Amino acid sequence: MPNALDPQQEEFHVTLMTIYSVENAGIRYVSAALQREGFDTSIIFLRDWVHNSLTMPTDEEIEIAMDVIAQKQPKLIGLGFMSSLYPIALEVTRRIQERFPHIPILWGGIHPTSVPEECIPEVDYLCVGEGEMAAVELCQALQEGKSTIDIPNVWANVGGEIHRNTPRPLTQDLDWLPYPDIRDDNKFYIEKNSFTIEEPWKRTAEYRIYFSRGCPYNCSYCYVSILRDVYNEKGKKFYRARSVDHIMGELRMAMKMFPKVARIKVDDDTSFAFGDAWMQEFLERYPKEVGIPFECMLIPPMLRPNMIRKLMAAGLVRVQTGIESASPEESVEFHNRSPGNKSIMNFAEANKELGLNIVYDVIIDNPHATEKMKLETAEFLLELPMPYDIYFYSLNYFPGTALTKEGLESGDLDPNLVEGKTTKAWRQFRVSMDWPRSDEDRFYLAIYSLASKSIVPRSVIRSILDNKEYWKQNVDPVFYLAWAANYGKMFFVALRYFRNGELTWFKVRQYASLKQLISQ
Amino acid sequence: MGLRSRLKGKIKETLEGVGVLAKVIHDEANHPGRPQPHMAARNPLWGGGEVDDEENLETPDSDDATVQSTTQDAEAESVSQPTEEVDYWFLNDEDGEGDDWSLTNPKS
Repeated sequence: MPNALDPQQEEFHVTLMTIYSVENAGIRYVSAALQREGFDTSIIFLRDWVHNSLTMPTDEEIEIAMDVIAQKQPKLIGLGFMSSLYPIALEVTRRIQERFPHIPILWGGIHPTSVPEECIPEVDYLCVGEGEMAAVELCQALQEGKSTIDIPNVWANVGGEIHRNTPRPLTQDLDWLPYPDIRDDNKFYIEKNSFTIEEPWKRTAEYRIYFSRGCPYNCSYCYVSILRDVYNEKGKKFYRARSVDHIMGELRMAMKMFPKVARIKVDDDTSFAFGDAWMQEFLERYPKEVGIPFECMLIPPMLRPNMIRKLMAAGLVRVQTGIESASPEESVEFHNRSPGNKSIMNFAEANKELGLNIVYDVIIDNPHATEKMKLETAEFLLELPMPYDIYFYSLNYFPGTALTKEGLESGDLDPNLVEGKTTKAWRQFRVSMDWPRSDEDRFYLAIYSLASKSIVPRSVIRSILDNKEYWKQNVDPVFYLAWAANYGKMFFVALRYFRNGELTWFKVRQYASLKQLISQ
Repeated sequence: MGLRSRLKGKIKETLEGVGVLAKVIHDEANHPGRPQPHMAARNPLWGGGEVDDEENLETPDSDDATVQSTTQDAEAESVSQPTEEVDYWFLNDEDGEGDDWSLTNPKS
């Protein structure tokens, strides 16, 4: 595979690409880091992950991506993707290799980081771990015609020989990072067999930002368990925060470039655990300098009402936190999580007064969960004060996570059920009712779903749960009751949004049309 | 005639809109929970979708947002609050070497 470039070339353009990941911040950070060092970049966004019916991009869409590459004539193509999208990434890569055999390809993102040995034969370079410095050094080496086989984080497939380089230490000072590249003129958004030159993030009212990297938790199913493995650095902070000043600078830029932004989504796995001085500065500056409602994710120990109260005064409108399973045994043994029930319940009680919009994460479809575990989650959800919403996640096995490694080592997990080999997440990233499940799992999904809806009185749900042996055998009425409650809820929400003027025919038609076209 | 065709056009457009909305609601009903954030950002039934500058923008959108207005202040005050003066365990591990920080979550 080619890797040497003419050092005499002046313009060094890098085309980055991501698939079904319009919100991909990593690629925007890499792009900005390259630009800061004088490289020219463009980013191709191949489709947007709108719903649960992912399909291969059409030939025409892939050809559009090829035409962009032909036009840009990059000296390196970088492709960042998640494990579930590996089959698409592979297909796109092969198409690039056929048409542009002289351009080296670099894969990055969580999949190449998880399973580099499986990935490296397919491409010239892999970036394992955080990629900003690695991409810069690789491009500098290519531009100057220097060796590319010993760059930290970069695995190189040169002349049929594989060079595996360990990652450099994690960037401790996140203020070193540039602001993500959110320019319009170098973005190519491909959807519906056509493309637009625009930053696709601008289409929504939401701006997503990271205040930190890493997470205090190390849950077995999560990508964090992969990164902790890759880095495994004693004496270094895995959970790192940007300064308030750096964050405010990015938000000011975003408000200028995204005039429609009306909501900030802090995308950290958890945020606001950066110490008192940091917090004080944020609470003082955010309302004055930004003042846009924001939402965030918090781990359960952080659901402290006094802190939440202060954040609400600064603009916090929604918080997402993980129950995942309310069974202490399932939490500890399978998820490697500290049970958060007590913190969550304390907060939920206090939230009767605070009135914050709260969304709980719940993971279903764990094949090893016993009925006792499922029942504990059902009981907990029924105890939680209303109102709340739930993000349901179907347990997917992502390569390289602690859960997947354990399953593969013990023989409990069929390798073909690991994402990248299977594509369950294409249909079940957001849990749907019609996915094939056992009667017992359908029963508990129905109960979980009903628990978060006020349409069906809790006394009715309790009565169903009290007679669970009967209803598990005759699950359809319970299941369809949950389905009907979903209809009721969505009808109610639509009505309210119409009344408030927040839902328009234009928006509905546009969304329906996007879904239809993508799932063709 | 002009008024009649405009009226017919308006009715047709509304009916089409209702049909599309019914399809979207039907699809949403197949999902028991809120869409994940990146999906919700595109979904008009969850406060997402493209926006116009003049539009009112999202406020918290739980179906029960109005239910909890009659708060029970006395009850809320009596709830046992977590001890807020205790620091988070990961802030007390400056060198990052504690087992409960670098290796796994605290189990208690």
